[in-house]
Amino acid sequence: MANIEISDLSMSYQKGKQILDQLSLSIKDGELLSILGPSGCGKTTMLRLISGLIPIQKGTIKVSGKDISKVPVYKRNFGMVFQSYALFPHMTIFQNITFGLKRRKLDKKTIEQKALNILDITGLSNLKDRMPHELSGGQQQRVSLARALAINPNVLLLDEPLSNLDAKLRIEMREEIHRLQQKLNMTTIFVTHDQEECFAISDRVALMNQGQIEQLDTPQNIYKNPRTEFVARFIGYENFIPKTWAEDQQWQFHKEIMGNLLTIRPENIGIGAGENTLLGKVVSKNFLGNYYQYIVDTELGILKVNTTKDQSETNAEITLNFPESSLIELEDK
Amino acid sequence: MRTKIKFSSIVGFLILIILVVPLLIVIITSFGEESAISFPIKGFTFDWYANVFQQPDFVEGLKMSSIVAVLASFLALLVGTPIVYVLTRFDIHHKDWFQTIFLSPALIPEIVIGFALYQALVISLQLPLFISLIVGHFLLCLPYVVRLITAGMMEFDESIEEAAWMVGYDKVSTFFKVVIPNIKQSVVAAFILSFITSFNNIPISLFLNGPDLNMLPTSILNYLENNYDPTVSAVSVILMIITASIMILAEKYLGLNKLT
Repeated sequence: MANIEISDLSMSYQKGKQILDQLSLSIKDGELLSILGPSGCGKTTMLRLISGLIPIQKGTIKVSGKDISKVPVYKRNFGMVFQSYALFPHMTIFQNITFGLKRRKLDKKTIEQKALNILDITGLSNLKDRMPHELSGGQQQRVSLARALAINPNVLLLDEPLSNLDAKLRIEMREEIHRLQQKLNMTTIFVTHDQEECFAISDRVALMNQGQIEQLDTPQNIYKNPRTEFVARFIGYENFIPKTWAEDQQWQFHKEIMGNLLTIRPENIGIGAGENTLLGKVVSKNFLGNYYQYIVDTELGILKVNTTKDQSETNAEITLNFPESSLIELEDK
Repeated sequence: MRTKIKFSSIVGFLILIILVVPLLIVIITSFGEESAISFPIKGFTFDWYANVFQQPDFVEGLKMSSIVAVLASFLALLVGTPIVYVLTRFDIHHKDWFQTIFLSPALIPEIVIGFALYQALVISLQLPLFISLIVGHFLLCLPYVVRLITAGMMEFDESIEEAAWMVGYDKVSTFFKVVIPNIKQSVVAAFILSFITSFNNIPISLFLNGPDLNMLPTSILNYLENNYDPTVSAVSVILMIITASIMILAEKYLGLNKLT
C-alpha cells in the first residue's frame, strides 16, 4: 500500500524549544512501526506532522515516493485513532463509520456495503445503531479504529490508542489492532509510551528521546541489545557498571563498542560463584510473584538482582556473578 | 450543620418572597376593575388585556421588539460564533485582549452605549434609526453569545474535529457538519438569552427610538407617564408569559440547564 520516507524532520515552537531535531525514518510497506518514548520526547508531534494536523516546518515526508508536505490533512487519506476515541457524538456508530465514505463520491450501496464489511471485521455489527455515549471505552475505541479503516487509508496512525483503557481491555485491543493490521497489510505507525504493548505487536520500534531517534530496531534486538543508557533504562535495565571499573577488576566482557558503561538485566545477575564476581550485602528482599528481587548494596552502589529461587536473606553477605554473555556494552550518547 | 441548612433555607425563602410577591401583585392588579392600579382589587375583568391590544404603541412595540430581538440575536450569533471558534481553536496573539473586547459591551453601562451610538451613528453618520437600533442591540447580545459559545467550545473535544479532517472533511465543512451540531445547545441558549436581553432592554432603545420605532418596554414607560391604569399590569403579565414560555420551551426540548 504505502511506504513512508521521513527525512530531516525538524520542529520547534515559537519559544525556541526544539521538539524534533533532524529526524529521519523510513517505514516499510505493511510494517507496524512503533514510536516509543517518554512524554515530551516528540513522538506525538511526529505523528501529528505525518498526519498533517500540524504543518511541517522543516524536512520532508514522502508516502510511496510522493512528497506530501503540501497536501492538506483532509486530502492525505490517512486513518487515525485518537487517545480520546474522538467519535462524532451526534452520530450513530454506523454514521460515524460512513462519514468519511460519504465524502468520497461513492454511491449509497457501495458505502453501505463497505461500512457493513468494516463493522463485520471489527465485530461491531450489533452496535451499529447505537450512539457513542452508549458504548464502553473499549467499544468506542473499536469504533474509532473501524472509522479510521473504513476510508481504506494509505497509512494507519495510532496515537496512544490504548492508554484510556483498563489493563485487560488494553491487551485485547492491542491484539485486535495487530490482527486487523496484519489482515489488511496496513502500513501503521503506533505511538505509545508503554514498552510492553509496543513490543508485543510491533515489527520495529523507534525509541525516541529529546526529538531524536535513539534506537530503531526490532523489539527483540532493542530488548537484548539496547544501544545507549537511555534506551536501557527505558526498557527496564537498572544495573549500570562503569567499564573502567570492570577493566580494573579484570572482568571478561566484549570490547567492541566505544563507551563508558556496561549494563545487565536484573535476572541475568547470578548469585554465588561464577564469572565476573562482586561481593555485596542484601539490603532487602521483595517477593514479586514469579520472582524474588534482591536489592544488593555493593561497591558499585545498589544493584537489583531478580531470581526465581529464594536464595538469600536480608543482611546476608553474598557473591554476585555477571556472565560475560549477559554484559551489554552501551554507547555514549 | 442543621442550623446552616435552616439559615440558607430561610434566606432562600425570603428571596423567593421578595421576588415573587411583587410579581404576584402585578398579576392580580391586572384583573382589577378600577381605573387606577390598586391592591387589593375590586371586581374582576379581562378588559385591560383587551386594552393592551387596542393601544397601537403596544401592538407595534411588541412587533418591533420581537423583530429587533430576533435580528440582533441572529446577527450576534452570526458574528460571534466564528469569532469564538477562532479564539478557542487558533493560537493567535493577544487572545485575552480580543476576548475582553468582545465581552466589553457587558461592562459598559447600557445607557452609555445607547448615548454613544446615538451620537456616532445617528448624529454623525446619519444612519437610519432602525439600523442603529439593530447595531445597539447586537452589541448588547454579543457578550452573551461569546460567553455561552465559548463555554460550549471548551467542552467540545478538539480531537473530534481532527477526526473529521482525517476522514476527508476540510475545516469549513467540519465546522458545519461536526462542530455546529455538537454546540447546538450553546447556540440555542445564546439565542434565547440574547433574545430576552434585547427584548427587555430599555436604555439603548430609549436613545434610538423614533416616531415609527417604538419598542415595547419604552412604550410601557411612555404609557406610564400619562396613565396609571392596570393596562400596564396586563402588558407586564404578557411580557412575563412570553419570556417564561421561551424559557420553559427551551428547557423542555433542549434541557438547557446550562442557561443559568
